[in-house]
Amino acid sequence: MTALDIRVNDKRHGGRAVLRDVHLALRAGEIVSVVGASGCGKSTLLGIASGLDTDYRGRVLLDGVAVAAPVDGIGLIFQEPRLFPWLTVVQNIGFGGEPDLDRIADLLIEVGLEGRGASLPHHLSGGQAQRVALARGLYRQPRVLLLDEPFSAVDAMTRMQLQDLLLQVARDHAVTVLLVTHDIEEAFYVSERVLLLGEVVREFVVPGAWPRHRGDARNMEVKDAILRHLQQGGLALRA
Amino acid sequence: MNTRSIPLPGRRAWSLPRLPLGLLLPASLLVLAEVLVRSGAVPANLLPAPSQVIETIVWLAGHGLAGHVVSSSLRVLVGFAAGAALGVLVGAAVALSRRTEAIVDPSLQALRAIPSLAWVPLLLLWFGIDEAPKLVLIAIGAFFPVYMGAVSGIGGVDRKLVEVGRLYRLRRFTLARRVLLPAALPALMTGLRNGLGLAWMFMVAAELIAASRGLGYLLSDGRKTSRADIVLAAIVLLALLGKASDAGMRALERRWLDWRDSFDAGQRA
Repeated sequence: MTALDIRVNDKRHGGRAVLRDVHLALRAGEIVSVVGASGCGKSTLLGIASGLDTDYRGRVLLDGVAVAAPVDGIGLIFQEPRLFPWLTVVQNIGFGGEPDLDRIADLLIEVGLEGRGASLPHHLSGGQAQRVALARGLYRQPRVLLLDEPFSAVDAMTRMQLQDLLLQVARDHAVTVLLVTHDIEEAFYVSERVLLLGEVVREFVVPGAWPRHRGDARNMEVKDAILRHLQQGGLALRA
Repeated sequence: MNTRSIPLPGRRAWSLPRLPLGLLLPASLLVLAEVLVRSGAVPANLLPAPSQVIETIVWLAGHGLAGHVVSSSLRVLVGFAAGAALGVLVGAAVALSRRTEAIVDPSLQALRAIPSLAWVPLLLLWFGIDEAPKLVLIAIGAFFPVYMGAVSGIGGVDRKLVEVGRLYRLRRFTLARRVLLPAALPALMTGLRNGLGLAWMFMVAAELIAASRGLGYLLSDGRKTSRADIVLAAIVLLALLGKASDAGMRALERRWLDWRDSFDAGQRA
């Protein structure tokens, strides 16, 4: 069953076409990554999918229902944690209403931050702050979680831990994941499908069940091809 | 390389606590003034000795000083509250709407440049010599720094935080209360502190011209009766009250902005 269906016929920034004739359909519970050259519209796509950006021609359907504004069913996690610096971890996670402290406590255990509920964001490391952002994204029990290069600002070891955490929570919460990333290794480690966003959307199905080996040899050729494509500004695969 | 030679960030150059350091300069000046006046190097009718000023303050305390202090403080309190409230409201309106900014801000910037004393004749003409012109003048003084603080604070809120607020479908007022206002608070607090300082200054300007009570009146009275000790006593009291009110604002600032991870938070040498 399709959980999220995104069709963008035309999206422009200042008269310049950013996305044209893009169609993505995510099955319920699926983890899909989107990679692409810088400026190809990856983040714009997530803005549209989240309901934040409605200035485009096309439509977004969540479980068959049109999304014209942000909804609880779709969570969005940004490149930066974007925590409110004046709120504690608990208040950040429960932002938007009366916080359900039991649920927040469970989420904190889940993301490995038990006992840090009273901390202010500036007392957290980058990785911890992103874990809080993940908990905040899950708090409203979304059916789809959108992530915009969420682990790009943390060190390599933390990134690997966060990737495993994402896989864990996606499975535990039965949430459908659309991950935008510039990290090909990350895309192939966490996803079932990798979509290369360019003039044409190309799809790569990633073989293998989890737990996977990082740097699985079966994907080396296609990873190299995508990497060359990205390094050359999106020209290699077209040629 | 000897790592111990690297200065640690945040290490203070002075181990003395702050209060004695802050008192060092005024205490030295007071001692110098006392010596100069007592030795006859400076005539006492122009610069009374600090001990004489203290005696005058003690004498005034038994002769209606409290009434003067209360009058001035109440005027500052009411005028500041009105000016600051208006400053926050107009500043928020300007920061949230480009059209309002285009209509309102140029005129306010022009009005901001008018010196406090220039308002006095007009306010006396409009409101007479009662409390109203004094309160309006103080409110004008407080308005502009608060307005500037609100405009720069709200206008400078991180767009990314506002975007998070939009994800939660916050209504305009809730977004302002839960995201814009807290995020703008550091700049707003600076505006409020400056506004309070100016409120005291504008209060003196108002009382110098038309008042029968207040510290500004004491200043004027001391000049008319050639009592430099009264003038200095009033100046000392104004300094103390201004400092006390600013300390109150700083305490509020520390309490409300304790979430900041700023350079101010004890890292300065």
